Amino acid sequence: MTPTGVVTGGWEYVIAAYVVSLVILVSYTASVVLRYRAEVRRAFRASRSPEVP
Amino acid sequence: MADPSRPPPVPGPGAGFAFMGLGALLLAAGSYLGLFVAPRESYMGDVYRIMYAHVPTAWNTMLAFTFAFGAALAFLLTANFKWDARHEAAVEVGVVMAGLLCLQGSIWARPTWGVWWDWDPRLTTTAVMFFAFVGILALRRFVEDPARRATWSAVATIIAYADVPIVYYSVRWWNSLHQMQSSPETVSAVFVIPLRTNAFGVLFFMTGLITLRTRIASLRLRQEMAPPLPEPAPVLASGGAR
Repeated sequence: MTPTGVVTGGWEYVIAAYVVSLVILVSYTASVVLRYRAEVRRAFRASRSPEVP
Repeated sequence: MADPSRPPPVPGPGAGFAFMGLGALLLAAGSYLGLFVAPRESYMGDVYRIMYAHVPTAWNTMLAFTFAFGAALAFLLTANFKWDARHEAAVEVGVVMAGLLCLQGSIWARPTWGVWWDWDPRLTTTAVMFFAFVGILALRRFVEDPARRATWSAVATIIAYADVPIVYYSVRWWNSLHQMQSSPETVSAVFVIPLRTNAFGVLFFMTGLITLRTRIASLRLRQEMAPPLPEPAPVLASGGAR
Protein backbone atom coordinates (compact mmCIF):
# COMPACT_ATOMS: atom_id res chain seq x y z
CA MET A 1 0.00 0.00 0.00
CA THR A 2 1.45 3.40 -0.98
CA PRO A 3 1.47 5.95 1.84
CA THR A 4 -0.70 8.95 1.00
CA GLY A 5 0.21 11.18 3.98
CA VAL A 6 -3.45 11.25 4.99
CA VAL A 7 -4.51 9.76 8.32
CA THR A 8 -7.51 7.50 7.85
CA GLY A 9 -9.87 6.34 10.58
CA GLY A 10 -8.80 7.23 14.08
CA TRP A 11 -12.18 7.77 15.74
CA GLU A 12 -11.08 5.38 18.50
CA TYR A 13 -8.28 7.84 19.41
CA VAL A 14 -10.69 10.79 19.37
CA ILE A 15 -13.11 8.93 21.67
CA ALA A 16 -10.23 7.89 23.96
CA ALA A 17 -8.99 11.49 24.26
CA TYR A 18 -12.46 12.84 25.13
CA VAL A 19 -13.22 10.00 27.58
CA VAL A 20 -9.86 10.46 29.35
CA SER A 21 -10.49 14.23 29.57
CA LEU A 22 -14.01 13.74 30.93
CA VAL A 23 -12.93 11.14 33.52
CA ILE A 24 -10.04 13.29 34.80
CA LEU A 25 -12.08 16.52 34.96
CA VAL A 26 -15.07 14.85 36.66
CA SER A 27 -12.84 12.98 39.16
CA TYR A 28 -10.84 16.08 40.07
CA THR A 29 -14.00 18.22 40.37
CA ALA A 30 -15.55 15.61 42.69
CA SER A 31 -12.37 15.57 44.77
CA VAL A 32 -12.40 19.38 45.10
CA VAL A 33 -16.10 19.49 46.06
CA LEU A 34 -15.70 16.68 48.63
CA ARG A 35 -12.61 18.32 50.16
CA TYR A 36 -14.44 21.65 50.29
CA ARG A 37 -17.37 20.09 52.16
CA ALA A 38 -15.01 18.30 54.56
CA GLU A 39 -13.17 21.57 55.32
CA VAL A 40 -16.44 23.45 55.88
CA ARG A 41 -17.60 20.72 58.32
CA ARG A 42 -14.25 20.81 60.13
CA ALA A 43 -14.36 24.60 60.43
CA PHE A 44 -17.95 24.42 61.71
CA ARG A 45 -16.98 21.82 64.36
CA ALA A 46 -13.98 23.92 65.41
CA SER A 47 -16.16 27.03 65.78
CA ARG A 48 -18.57 25.14 68.05
CA SER A 49 -15.96 23.51 70.28
CA PRO A 50 -16.73 24.16 73.98
CA GLU A 51 -15.07 27.12 75.66
CA VAL A 52 -12.23 26.19 77.95
CA PRO A 53 -12.74 27.78 81.39
CA MET B 1 -8.30 47.26 56.55
CA ALA B 2 -7.59 43.52 56.87
CA ASP B 3 -4.36 42.46 58.57
CA PRO B 4 -2.36 40.61 55.87
CA SER B 5 -0.60 38.39 58.39
CA ARG B 6 -3.94 36.91 59.47
CA PRO B 7 -5.60 34.00 57.62
CA PRO B 8 -7.77 35.12 54.69
CA PRO B 9 -11.56 35.48 55.02
CA VAL B 10 -13.49 32.65 53.31
CA PRO B 11 -16.42 33.67 51.09
CA GLY B 12 -19.06 31.12 50.04
CA PRO B 13 -18.65 28.66 47.15
CA GLY B 14 -21.33 30.25 44.90
CA ALA B 15 -18.97 31.94 42.44
CA GLY B 16 -16.93 28.75 41.98
CA PHE B 17 -20.00 26.67 41.12
CA ALA B 18 -21.33 29.39 38.79
CA PHE B 19 -18.07 29.49 36.82
CA MET B 20 -17.96 25.69 36.64
CA GLY B 21 -21.56 25.52 35.41
CA LEU B 22 -20.94 28.10 32.69
CA GLY B 23 -17.72 26.32 31.69
CA ALA B 24 -19.48 22.93 31.48
CA LEU B 25 -22.18 24.41 29.19
CA LEU B 26 -19.60 25.97 26.87
CA LEU B 27 -17.56 22.75 26.83
CA ALA B 28 -20.63 20.69 25.93
CA ALA B 29 -21.48 23.09 23.06
CA GLY B 30 -17.89 23.35 21.78
CA SER B 31 -17.32 19.60 21.92
CA TYR B 32 -20.59 18.96 20.04
CA LEU B 33 -19.54 21.42 17.32
CA GLY B 34 -16.02 19.97 17.15
CA LEU B 35 -17.04 16.32 17.11
CA PHE B 36 -20.18 16.36 14.95
CA VAL B 37 -20.45 19.65 13.02
CA ALA B 38 -16.91 20.68 11.99
CA PRO B 39 -15.70 19.01 8.75
CA ARG B 40 -12.81 16.52 8.53
CA GLU B 41 -9.34 17.98 8.13
CA SER B 42 -7.60 17.32 4.79
CA TYR B 43 -4.54 15.46 6.13
CA MET B 44 -5.38 14.35 9.65
CA GLY B 45 -8.92 13.23 8.87
CA ASP B 46 -11.01 12.85 12.04
CA VAL B 47 -8.02 12.52 14.39
CA TYR B 48 -7.58 16.30 14.33
CA ARG B 49 -10.78 16.58 16.44
CA ILE B 50 -8.58 15.85 19.49
CA MET B 51 -7.36 19.43 18.92
CA TYR B 52 -10.66 20.78 20.32
CA ALA B 53 -9.77 19.27 23.71
CA HIS B 54 -5.96 19.41 23.55
CA VAL B 55 -5.34 23.02 22.48
CA PRO B 56 -7.75 24.66 25.03
CA THR B 57 -6.15 22.47 27.73
CA ALA B 58 -2.68 23.67 26.68
CA TRP B 59 -3.62 27.37 26.66
CA ASN B 60 -5.33 27.16 30.03
CA THR B 61 -2.56 25.11 31.64
CA MET B 62 -0.13 27.91 30.85
CA LEU B 63 -2.69 30.45 32.10
CA ALA B 64 -3.08 28.55 35.41
CA PHE B 65 0.69 28.53 35.93
CA THR B 66 0.86 32.23 34.99
CA PHE B 67 -1.77 32.98 37.64
CA ALA B 68 0.23 30.86 40.14
CA PHE B 69 3.33 32.90 39.24
CA GLY B 70 1.44 36.17 39.81
CA ALA B 71 0.01 34.93 43.12
CA ALA B 72 3.46 33.76 44.29
CA LEU B 73 4.95 37.15 43.45
CA ALA B 74 2.05 38.95 45.18
CA PHE B 75 2.58 36.87 48.33
CA LEU B 76 6.30 37.66 48.43
CA LEU B 77 5.56 41.37 48.01
CA THR B 78 2.64 41.67 50.44
CA ALA B 79 2.94 38.64 52.83
CA ASN B 80 -0.86 38.44 52.55
CA PHE B 81 -1.99 34.82 52.95
CA LYS B 82 -4.92 35.22 50.58
CA TRP B 83 -2.29 35.10 47.81
CA ASP B 84 -0.81 31.92 49.26
CA ALA B 85 -4.24 30.26 49.12
CA ARG B 86 -4.66 31.37 45.48
CA HIS B 87 -1.14 30.22 44.67
CA GLU B 88 -1.76 26.73 46.10
CA ALA B 89 -5.05 26.44 44.20
CA ALA B 90 -3.59 27.54 40.85
CA VAL B 91 -0.60 25.19 41.11
CA GLU B 92 -2.78 22.17 41.91
CA VAL B 93 -5.30 22.89 39.13
CA GLY B 94 -2.41 23.60 36.72
CA VAL B 95 -0.79 20.26 37.54
CA VAL B 96 -4.04 18.38 36.84
CA MET B 97 -4.39 20.25 33.54
CA ALA B 98 -0.75 19.61 32.59
CA GLY B 99 -1.15 15.88 33.29
CA LEU B 100 -4.31 15.83 31.16
CA LEU B 101 -2.47 17.77 28.43
CA CYS B 102 0.29 15.13 28.25
CA LEU B 103 -2.28 12.29 28.06
CA GLN B 104 -4.28 14.01 25.28
CA GLY B 105 -1.09 14.76 23.36
CA SER B 106 0.06 11.18 23.70
CA ILE B 107 -3.25 9.86 22.34
CA TRP B 108 -2.97 12.27 19.40
CA ALA B 109 0.70 11.40 18.76
CA ARG B 110 0.05 7.67 18.28
CA PRO B 111 -2.01 7.86 15.04
CA THR B 112 -0.18 10.92 13.62
CA TRP B 113 3.49 10.32 14.58
CA GLY B 114 3.30 6.55 15.13
CA VAL B 115 4.56 6.80 18.74
CA TRP B 116 2.94 7.52 22.10
CA TRP B 117 5.84 9.71 23.26
CA ASP B 118 8.96 11.32 21.80
CA TRP B 119 11.73 13.32 23.52
CA ASP B 120 10.91 16.23 21.25
CA PRO B 121 11.56 19.80 22.59
CA ARG B 122 7.86 20.65 23.09
CA LEU B 123 7.05 17.37 24.82
CA THR B 124 10.21 17.40 26.94
CA THR B 125 9.75 20.98 28.16
CA THR B 126 6.08 20.22 28.94
CA ALA B 127 7.10 17.17 30.99
CA VAL B 128 9.67 19.31 32.84
CA MET B 129 6.92 21.89 33.58
CA PHE B 130 4.59 19.16 34.88
CA PHE B 131 7.19 17.58 37.19
CA ALA B 132 8.48 20.97 38.43
CA PHE B 133 5.01 21.97 39.63
CA VAL B 134 4.35 18.46 41.06
CA GLY B 135 7.53 19.08 43.08
CA ILE B 136 6.08 22.35 44.40
CA LEU B 137 2.93 20.54 45.56
CA ALA B 138 5.16 17.95 47.29
CA LEU B 139 7.18 20.76 48.93
CA ARG B 140 3.97 22.28 50.31
CA ARG B 141 2.99 18.91 51.82
CA PHE B 142 6.31 18.54 53.64
CA VAL B 143 6.56 22.02 55.24
CA GLU B 144 4.24 22.46 58.21
CA ASP B 145 4.88 26.09 59.15
CA PRO B 146 2.46 28.21 57.03
CA ALA B 147 4.84 31.18 56.62
CA ARG B 148 7.82 29.05 55.54
CA ARG B 149 5.63 26.91 53.29
CA ALA B 150 4.19 29.98 51.58
CA THR B 151 7.57 31.66 51.09
CA TRP B 152 9.50 28.60 49.92
CA SER B 153 6.81 27.44 47.52
CA ALA B 154 6.39 30.98 46.13
CA VAL B 155 10.11 31.15 45.36
CA ALA B 156 9.97 27.66 43.82
CA THR B 157 7.02 28.68 41.63
CA ILE B 158 8.87 31.75 40.35
CA ILE B 159 11.85 29.54 39.41
CA ALA B 160 9.65 26.81 37.86
CA TYR B 161 7.69 29.37 35.86
CA ALA B 162 10.80 30.09 33.77
CA ASP B 163 9.94 26.88 31.87
CA VAL B 164 6.47 28.10 30.78
CA PRO B 165 7.64 30.56 28.06
CA ILE B 166 10.19 27.92 26.99
CA VAL B 167 7.29 25.47 26.46
CA TYR B 168 5.46 28.07 24.37
CA TYR B 169 8.43 29.02 22.19
CA SER B 170 10.03 25.54 21.99
CA VAL B 171 8.38 24.85 18.61
CA ARG B 172 9.91 28.04 17.19
CA TRP B 173 13.35 27.81 18.78
CA TRP B 174 14.10 24.15 17.96
CA ASN B 175 13.22 21.61 15.29
CA SER B 176 10.15 19.92 16.65
CA LEU B 177 7.77 17.16 15.59
CA HIS B 178 5.03 19.24 17.20
CA GLN B 179 3.37 21.74 14.87
CA MET B 180 3.80 25.50 15.43
CA GLN B 181 1.04 27.68 16.86
CA SER B 182 -1.76 28.53 14.42
CA SER B 183 -3.63 31.83 14.27
CA PRO B 184 -7.17 32.74 13.15
CA GLU B 185 -5.59 33.91 9.85
CA THR B 186 -4.20 30.42 9.15
CA VAL B 187 -7.26 28.41 10.27
CA SER B 188 -10.70 28.40 8.61
CA ALA B 189 -13.56 29.93 10.62
CA VAL B 190 -15.40 26.61 10.69
CA PHE B 191 -12.53 25.16 12.75
CA VAL B 192 -12.04 28.26 14.91
CA ILE B 193 -15.55 28.51 16.41
CA PRO B 194 -15.55 25.15 18.28
CA LEU B 195 -11.94 25.77 19.34
CA ARG B 196 -12.75 29.18 20.88
CA THR B 197 -15.95 27.88 22.51
CA ASN B 198 -13.99 25.09 24.20
CA ALA B 199 -11.16 27.46 25.12
CA PHE B 200 -13.60 29.70 27.01
CA GLY B 201 -15.32 26.59 28.42
CA VAL B 202 -12.04 25.31 29.89
CA LEU B 203 -11.19 28.83 31.09
CA PHE B 204 -14.47 29.23 33.02
CA PHE B 205 -14.38 25.67 34.35
CA MET B 206 -10.77 26.10 35.50
CA THR B 207 -11.61 29.47 37.11
CA GLY B 208 -14.40 27.75 39.05
CA LEU B 209 -12.04 25.00 40.19
CA ILE B 210 -9.38 27.51 41.27
CA THR B 211 -12.01 29.56 43.12
CA LEU B 212 -13.32 26.53 45.03
CA ARG B 213 -9.82 25.16 45.68
CA THR B 214 -8.80 28.59 47.04
CA ARG B 215 -11.66 28.31 49.56
CA ILE B 216 -10.25 24.94 50.73
CA ALA B 217 -6.76 26.42 51.14
CA SER B 218 -8.16 29.44 53.01
CA LEU B 219 -10.16 27.24 55.41
CA ARG B 220 -7.07 25.13 56.12
CA LEU B 221 -4.98 28.25 56.71
CA ARG B 222 -7.56 29.58 59.18
CA GLN B 223 -7.36 26.29 61.06
CA GLU B 224 -3.55 26.24 61.05
CA MET B 225 -3.15 29.89 62.03
CA ALA B 226 -5.82 29.93 64.73
CA PRO B 227 -4.36 30.86 68.14
CA PRO B 228 -3.74 27.78 70.32
CA LEU B 229 -6.33 27.00 72.95
CA PRO B 230 -5.29 27.87 76.52
CA GLU B 231 -4.14 25.06 78.81
CA PRO B 232 -7.15 23.57 80.61
CA ALA B 233 -7.42 24.52 84.28
CA PRO B 234 -6.61 21.65 86.72
CA VAL B 235 -9.79 19.87 87.73
CA LEU B 236 -10.29 19.77 91.48
CA ALA B 237 -11.27 16.46 92.98
CA SER B 238 -14.92 16.37 93.92
CA GLY B 239 -15.72 16.40 97.57
CA GLY B 240 -13.53 19.38 98.43
CA ALA B 241 -10.20 19.46 100.27
CA ARG B 242 -9.34 16.63 102.54
